[in-house]
Amino acid sequence: MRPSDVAAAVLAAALLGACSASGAGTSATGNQAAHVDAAARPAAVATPAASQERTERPVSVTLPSGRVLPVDVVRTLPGGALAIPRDIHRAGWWAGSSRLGDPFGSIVLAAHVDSFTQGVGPAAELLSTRPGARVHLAARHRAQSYRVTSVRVVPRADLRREEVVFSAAGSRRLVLITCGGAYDAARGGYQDNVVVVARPTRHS
Amino acid sequence: MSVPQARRALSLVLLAALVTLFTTLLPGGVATARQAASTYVVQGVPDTRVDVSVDGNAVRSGVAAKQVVGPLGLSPGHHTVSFSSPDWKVMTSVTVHGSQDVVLHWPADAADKPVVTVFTNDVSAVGSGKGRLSVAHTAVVPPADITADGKTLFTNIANGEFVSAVVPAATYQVAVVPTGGGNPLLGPLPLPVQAGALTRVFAIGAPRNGSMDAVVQVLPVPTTGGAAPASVHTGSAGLVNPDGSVDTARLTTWPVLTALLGR
Repeated sequence: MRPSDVAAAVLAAALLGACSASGAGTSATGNQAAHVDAAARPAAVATPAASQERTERPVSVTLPSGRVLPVDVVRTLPGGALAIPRDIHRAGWWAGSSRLGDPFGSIVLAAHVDSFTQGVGPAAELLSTRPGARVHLAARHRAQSYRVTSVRVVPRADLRREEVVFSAAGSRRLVLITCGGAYDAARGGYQDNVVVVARPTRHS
Repeated sequence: MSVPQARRALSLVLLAALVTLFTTLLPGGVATARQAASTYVVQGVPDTRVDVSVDGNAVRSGVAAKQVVGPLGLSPGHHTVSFSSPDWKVMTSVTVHGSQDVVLHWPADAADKPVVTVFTNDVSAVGSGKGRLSVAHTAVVPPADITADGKTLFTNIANGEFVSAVVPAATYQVAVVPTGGGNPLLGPLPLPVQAGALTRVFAIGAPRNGSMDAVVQVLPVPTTGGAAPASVHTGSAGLVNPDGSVDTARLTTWPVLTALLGR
């Protein structure tokens, strides 16, 4: 067989192989090419009702002092700890919690009260926040204002038993978490979580 | 084989390999790597059995009301879907991509044959312990509200429209009520909303002949964020007192410490 014959055979095989690899995936009808009957009218495409809420995750949080923190998306690590942004000037939004526009449950944010490398964080103001203070969340397109209804100090080991903090149920709320209470370096540092709960000030 | 012949043979093999490579890069080749579409067909016309065919080929015959057929592995792109009953034939073209429901249903006003509306399934991730509830209006009623456990979740949904919300997994008493008030058109019915799933409800039928009903379809969706946290560790330096004031004693030594630690 001459090389040019080999070339022709290989080229033909490659092209045939390409033809069978291209075209439809596993079509139930077995058709390679899409078949559209000229008599067929296009189906209507469903649209969301005008009352449909567009849900978005928070992008920034404004604390009662007016200080604004950017918000990162964070998840729960395998050991059960919530991954917090290392930068104390950023807050983490737990991706398993509610979004702006969801009908129920907690939007959960957390930020470091301090760190060895950066000093005192903006979240420290939560330790002296009082009910009635205002907090604001901004998302990409929408925003929501909140009014603080409670500030509680919870021993860190008891946080998981708090019913409302991470709950997906019940009327909409914003939950801000940081650390506080007594500090004992020998026993893991701050002994408590400070939990601020706030309610939306108008229907979002 | 002589050296020149071997060299030529090798170059031809390389040429062939190159041709194969370029042909797999053509659009046809890329389509096989794309995620397969999931198309479902929902028979939303009460009191009749319907034969379903796609692109001229029979898919299922005698489909009763409320049945969901699929997932059909249709290639992304245009397809013709036909529905036949003893009284009418409906032929429609759909553009297939992602996860979709192709729904046969009566329009809001009197018509001699049903219509087809394509609903995209939102199969994006939800938080753990939550499910996505999506309710669609494909019934012969005016715009309606959806209530869950007596609370209005959505208002003013017209025929061919849908609403969707991520809610905690639970069983809800769901009802379809006329916008502006009146007795429920459908329900309240107990509707389980599972975690990690999209639960689709299609309201179908007409009150005038008592055929109001609901089609329920459950599709899995991924979850995001992990389980509810067991702990939140948000602070380590002991620079803040319980009342929120700064521990000035610690603060003055803090720069020294960080310098010593070399951070």
